[in-house]
Amino acid sequence: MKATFTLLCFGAALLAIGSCADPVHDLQVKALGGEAPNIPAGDYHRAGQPCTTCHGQYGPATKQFAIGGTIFHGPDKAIGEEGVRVEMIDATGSQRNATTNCVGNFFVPTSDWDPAYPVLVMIRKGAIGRTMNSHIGREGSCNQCHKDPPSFDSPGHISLVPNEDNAPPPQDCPVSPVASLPGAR
Amino acid sequence: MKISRESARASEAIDVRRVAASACVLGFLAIAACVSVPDKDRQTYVGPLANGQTLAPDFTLYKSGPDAYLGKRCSTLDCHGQLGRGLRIFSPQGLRAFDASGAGYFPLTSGKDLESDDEKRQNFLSVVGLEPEVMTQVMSNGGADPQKLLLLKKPLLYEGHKGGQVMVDISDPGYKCLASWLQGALDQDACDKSLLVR
Repeated sequence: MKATFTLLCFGAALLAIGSCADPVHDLQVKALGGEAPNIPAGDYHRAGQPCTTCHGQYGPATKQFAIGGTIFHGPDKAIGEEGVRVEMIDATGSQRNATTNCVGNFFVPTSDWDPAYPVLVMIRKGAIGRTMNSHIGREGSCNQCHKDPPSFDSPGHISLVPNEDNAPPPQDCPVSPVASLPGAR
Repeated sequence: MKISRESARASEAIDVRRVAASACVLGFLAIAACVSVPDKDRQTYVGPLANGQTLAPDFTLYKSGPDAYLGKRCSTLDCHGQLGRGLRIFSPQGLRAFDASGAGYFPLTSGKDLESDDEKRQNFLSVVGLEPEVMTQVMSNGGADPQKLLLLKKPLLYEGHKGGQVMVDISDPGYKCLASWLQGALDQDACDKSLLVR
């Protein structure tokens, strides 16, 4: 009797653990691959990848982002643009700004902002400003939709300037500001 | 005495089997009684009405307003601009259509090319085919009660909508645009205004 009860408890515990797993999400995380060489996990890592796949409510990252992404300089090369101000406004009029680091990454933690979608976005640096043509419906990762190459289901990565030029990459960046994006030209 | 007890048990077992078998037969009969008999005179009519009208909403009117509204408001790549959506909407800034008539590839790029006529037609079919029966009911009544459709129930949040409340109420320009289209008298002004809301 005691053994049966123990077995039942063990089975219930296994079921409870199994029901918490999400194989689809696990596959999405796995599909991102490992960290790039010489770029440790942190503010500079995984430029161009969809941030909230890991930094969302299902983890595995501990820090959760409301919105995050990467701004590159031009539309062809994946060179991060530093100091771009990302201005966001949600459906209730609540606003947040974030600024990109030297690989182009920016993020807003959920502890700081929980936007009511849709969200409108504008990026600005100096005299250059670009407004996103459509709104964000619900996706916190800019790079989920803005991926390379431009195709039927993506307008390509986000860039500060609409046409590629030969602007020098950011200096004094602790890691390479050039992201390795599949499909980037 | 022992033989008599075993005999009684065997008899009881047989009775139980008989009762179970009878219950099964009765159950089958009950289920069979619920099955309707095919009615050869009952038909579903698809096609123009006697007066020449059709029960489908007008495609030409759809192209003049509702398509642009749905494209702007619903078709982002993270919402209805996805192939798996029940209501899938193609748009210039979102998902682009597969070219089934030509070489069989995606010839248009998101955020770059203008919307094609084929995309508008496919959007129309997506909207009309979302709930074919309800759409037919609504159209057979001249579009008098468009709120029966998920197309309007969800954005009004009369029913759960992952994208939240898109239309404030029935005075929303987007609602007026879609409802007037279904009623066959497009409110172009409302459609134009619906595009100004960001």
